[in-house]
Parts: sequence; C-alpha cells; structure tokens
Amino acid sequence: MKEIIAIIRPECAEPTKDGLEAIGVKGVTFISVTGRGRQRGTIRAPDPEGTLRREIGVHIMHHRGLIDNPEDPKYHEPVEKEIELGFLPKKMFMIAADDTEVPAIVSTIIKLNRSEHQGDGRIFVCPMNDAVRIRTGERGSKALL
Amino acid sequence: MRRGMFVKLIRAIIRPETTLRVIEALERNGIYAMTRLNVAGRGKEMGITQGTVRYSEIPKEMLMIVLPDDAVSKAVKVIETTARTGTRKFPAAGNIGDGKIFVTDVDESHTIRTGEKMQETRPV
Repeated sequence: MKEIIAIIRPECAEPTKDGLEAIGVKGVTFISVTGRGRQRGTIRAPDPEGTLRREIGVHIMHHRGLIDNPEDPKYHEPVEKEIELGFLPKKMFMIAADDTEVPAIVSTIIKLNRSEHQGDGRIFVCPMNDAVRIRTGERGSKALL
Repeated sequence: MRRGMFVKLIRAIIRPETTLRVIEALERNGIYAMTRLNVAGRGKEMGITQGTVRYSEIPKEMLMIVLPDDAVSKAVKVIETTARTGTRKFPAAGNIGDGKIFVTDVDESHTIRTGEKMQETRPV
C-alpha cells in the first residue's frame, strides 16, 4: 500500500476530483494548505499572457497596491519586478491506494493539473504499512476498497 | 535534486507563534520549499487543564518539507533549535508544547509541471 500526497492548485481541485472518480478512486482526503516551492512563491509580473497574474491577481494587488482599472486615480503601470508572495493557497489530496493503482492515479493527477507554469505542484508517493476500516475492523488492502 | 537520491518527508508540528521564526531560519539554510497547514492536537499531557476546564485540542501549525537524505539532519536541527520557546533564565530551553518532528520515507516524487519522475533506488 502507498500513500499519495498531491499538492495542487486550488482551482484544479474540482476537475481532479472528477478525474479520480472516473478511474475508480473513491476515498480521498482533501486539505486546504498554503505552500511554496523552490521559487519561494516569487513571480515575475506582469507575465506576457497575463495568466499567472489572473490566477494570483489578488495577491499582487495586495502586495503592490496595483489596481486593474486604468481609470482609477491610484492606477499605475505594473512594474517588471520580482514579487515575493510567500505562501500561496494550495489543495492537498491524500489518497491511500494499492501499489498497482499508483501509476494510474499519479498520471491522472499530472494530466489534469499540468499547465507548464511554475506552481503546478508536486506528488509524493510514500510507503504505508497498514490501513484499518474502523467500522468493521478490516485491515490492509481490504480496508481500502 | 539528483536522480535516484533518497528523499525524506519531514513533518514538523510546532507552535503557531514560532512558525515565522522557523521559516526564516530554514530560509537562511537554503530551504524554501514547504507546505504549511493549520492543525489541532495534543501531546502526552492531554492538552491543557486550567482549573476545572480541559482544553484537549491545542492549535498548532504543521510544516511539511521534502528533502534529500543528506539535508534532513541539518533541517531537523534547525527546526528543533528555533522552535524552542525557552525560559527567561535559559533562552535555549524547550517547553511542553513546543512540538514534534517526524521524518518518513518518500518512494517517488513527481513534478506536475514537467511530469518528471524521481524514483528512489532503495536497497531491498
């Protein structure tokens, strides 16, 4: 048995839930977490397509006092500068699965979350020694079904 | 991270008020990537008893850090020393409720952006 810990973008959580359901993964634990990677939550703003900016626009406005509406007297052109955002909101999925199911689950999560931008997240597969279904006391992989 | 390197997951459950201090200390040691989550828990003291009232769930913060094997002992040391709250007489001393650090194995690590897989080559 393995424990799969996936840390993904919060907006990708719903499609990922549906995708996991489609491959027959029923039991998943979701936790709202904050986190950052090697880039320390740093982004370069504005990015050419504005995709990153939209996703975490709230944070940029919060940190830089930027306002999107040019009519606003407080508006000023965004500066090309690295902004350290610190910890960004993420969703953590914890899935207990049999060894044979692990590759399918991992590839589904990767397929549904990959935008090729920094901050897509990580998946860790950790060993798990035992599982118990509390209702019946079943142990091992029987408890996962 | 190199391919085939042993990787460990550190879960540190610490006081919420020491979290920033710990993160800054880890930054100074070159550790930036981590996940933070708010948890509640208790230790062997069964929470806090104040008069007749028992608080069985005390708010804590959990840091999850995945590191190569050789960096783990240093990171644990850093967390351990900075998460101690100390007493007036002994600033480096620990108190009840300062937290715990757990280190567990990680078999595989995937980066979603690149789809890159890092599998551990563990001797059986």
